[in-house]
Amino acid sequence: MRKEIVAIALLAALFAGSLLNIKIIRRITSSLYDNVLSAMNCADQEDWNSAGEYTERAVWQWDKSKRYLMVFIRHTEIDTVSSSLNDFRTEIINRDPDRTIGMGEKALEQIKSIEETESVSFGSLF
Amino acid sequence: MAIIFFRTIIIFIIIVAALRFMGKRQLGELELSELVVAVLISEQATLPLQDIGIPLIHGLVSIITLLCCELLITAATLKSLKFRSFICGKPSVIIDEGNIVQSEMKSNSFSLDELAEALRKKDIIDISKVRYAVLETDGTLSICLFEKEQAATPSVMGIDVKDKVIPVSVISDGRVLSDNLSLIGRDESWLRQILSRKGIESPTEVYYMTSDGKSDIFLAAKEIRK
Repeated sequence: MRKEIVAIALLAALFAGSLLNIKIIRRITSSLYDNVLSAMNCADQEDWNSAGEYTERAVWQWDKSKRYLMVFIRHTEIDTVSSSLNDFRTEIINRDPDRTIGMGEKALEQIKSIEETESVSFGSLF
Repeated sequence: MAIIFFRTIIIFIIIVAALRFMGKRQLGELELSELVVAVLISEQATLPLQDIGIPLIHGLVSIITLLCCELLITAATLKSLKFRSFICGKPSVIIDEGNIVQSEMKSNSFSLDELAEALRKKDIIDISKVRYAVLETDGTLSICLFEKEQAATPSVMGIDVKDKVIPVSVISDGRVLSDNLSLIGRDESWLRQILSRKGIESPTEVYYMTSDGKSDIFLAAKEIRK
């Protein structure tokens, strides 16, 4: 009976851990998403200093979260978001509004895809 | 390279522990659910090893989940006969009173060649000697011969025999197995006496020795290296 209790406890712990992981990833991605979106809005209004600040904040936050994310999500997805954020930052430094918006949208899409991949839905299950 | 090395060690330890936890039967005769778990565990374990971009936790979570599910299924099959027959199936009588049950053969997709092969593996060449043959849930065939075809036993022949104490290993490759010695009610001084009678000074000179603690002793001395 002890074995079965341990098995149930382990399954419950894994289930709770999975839900917690989804919550943490959602928190990381939504904050990242907001910063990139704010940077895009500032870039659209040609407020490059604020756009730069938001981008740096997003990159710093991403770098900080990487250690956790490396344990739980595929490394290729992390690399994709990292390179998108770097491209976005480069365009902000170059101060090209159209290309900045384009790169920003690409980064937003990839950030969202991380959240979607980790969320449990009919689509993600099948 | 280092990542693969460490991951392989971790996965190896986890799988050995998992299989040990599942019991010895998993190594030989597998029930359906056990086979599925064994196949899936081996498959899941290799994923993070083949691709270092996949986090190790993905493999570990799958293995632990499979192990827990298997434990719960095993517990449920022990508690409920209905659940057991649902998960493991039921044994099928393939030969009943010497007659091949063709409907059971068909429903189990068991061919005559396979039946003949399974009988040959049991050292039975003549199928007419078989009274019952049961296809077990793990795919093995259990056989019961007609009384007249069965080997003569002392009880059939009316001979009274006493049960022997089973001999146990007492020296293995020069090492004295103290637990087994006490199992047959003997100690090391007894062992040394027996060895000196055989002209052996020390247990380290013995390759293998078994005894029932009484008269039944098997001894193989170590070969002298040239």
